[in-house]
Amino acid sequence: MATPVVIFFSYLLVAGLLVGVSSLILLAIARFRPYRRFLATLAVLGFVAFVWGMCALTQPGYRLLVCYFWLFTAAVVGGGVGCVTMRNVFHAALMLILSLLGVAGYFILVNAEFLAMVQVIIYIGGIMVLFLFGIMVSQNIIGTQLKQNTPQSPWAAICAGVLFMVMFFTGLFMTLKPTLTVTPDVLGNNTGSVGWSLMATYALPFEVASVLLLMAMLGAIILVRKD
Amino acid sequence: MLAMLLQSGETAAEVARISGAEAFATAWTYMTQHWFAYAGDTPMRFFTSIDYHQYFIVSCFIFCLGFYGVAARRNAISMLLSLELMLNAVNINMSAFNWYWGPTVTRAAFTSEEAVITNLGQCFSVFAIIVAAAEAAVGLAIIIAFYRMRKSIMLDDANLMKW
Repeated sequence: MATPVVIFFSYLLVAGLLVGVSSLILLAIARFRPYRRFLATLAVLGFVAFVWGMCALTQPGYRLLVCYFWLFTAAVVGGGVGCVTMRNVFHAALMLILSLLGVAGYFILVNAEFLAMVQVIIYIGGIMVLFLFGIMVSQNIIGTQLKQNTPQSPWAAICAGVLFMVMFFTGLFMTLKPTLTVTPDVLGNNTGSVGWSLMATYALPFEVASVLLLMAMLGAIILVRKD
Repeated sequence: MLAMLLQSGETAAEVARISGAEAFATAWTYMTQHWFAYAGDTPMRFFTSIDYHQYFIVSCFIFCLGFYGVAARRNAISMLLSLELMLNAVNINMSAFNWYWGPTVTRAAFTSEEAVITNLGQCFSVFAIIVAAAEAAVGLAIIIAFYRMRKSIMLDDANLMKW
């Protein structure tokens, strides 16, 4: 199976991934503008090489699914890195919206259409707009290009990296296959079953959640009231 | 943990038996010969076939990014944005595990012939989104009240209750 073509595309895939991720990380640090443009070009080229190698290696039936998965992954990871590292908080919120759109794509891929719509309507349309309003209300402090990190941020990065390595090995170690093979038509009409579960099986938690939302609304009004 | 619980008896005993450096060595072997190798029936299996591992690892990355953001950012709104990243990592995990393990998790799937599918993970994600909405509203209200009092939303300035 390991023909020279397979080996070539494997190396192309890994090299594209390494170049893309490392230039993305450098892009988060770099400030000099032509250098930033060069790094952005490198990131796009790396991602293109990655997708090319991946498409060449994937079996034809799965190619579209896998391409969509890595496209959404690029949106989620790029948006997340941008959200955590950007100095302008408004831009950070916009990058978080990109990341949330990628998560909505994930929900489509795992047959959770209801969750995808909830993600777009509630998260992006509601919560993120609330955040943008909050940023704009306090614009004169945080809209400028302030330094946003605490002096302890390298330690935070080291802790997060160690946590990620632990989780990475744990995740690759889960190798069991389920007894039933999941295909998209098995899950079928998922929105209806989610609605049925929310209204019948989990009716009590649903009502408790509505009470929680009511309390949050009252609490928010009382907290920001001018008395 | 769910994967551990759902494993067959032989594999579960195998997992319980090995530990520490041996488990690390096994994981390393899986990485170099199974997930990131061009030999085998599916070359570069981690990138060319999608199951729950990929979702798990991407959501781990997002969770760690959110952790870094909460620990390292200086102003309160950025910290709330990073919290949203962490919540989304959890939502990805729950829906992806539901997609993959849904037919096998229900008790009826062990006793009946047809595939019975649970949507517990998706319902739980709905509740997580509800809690995220409440958290965002109350958190922003607290931040705006603090901004009115101190004319700043930097977390270093929130030292009123510091002894």
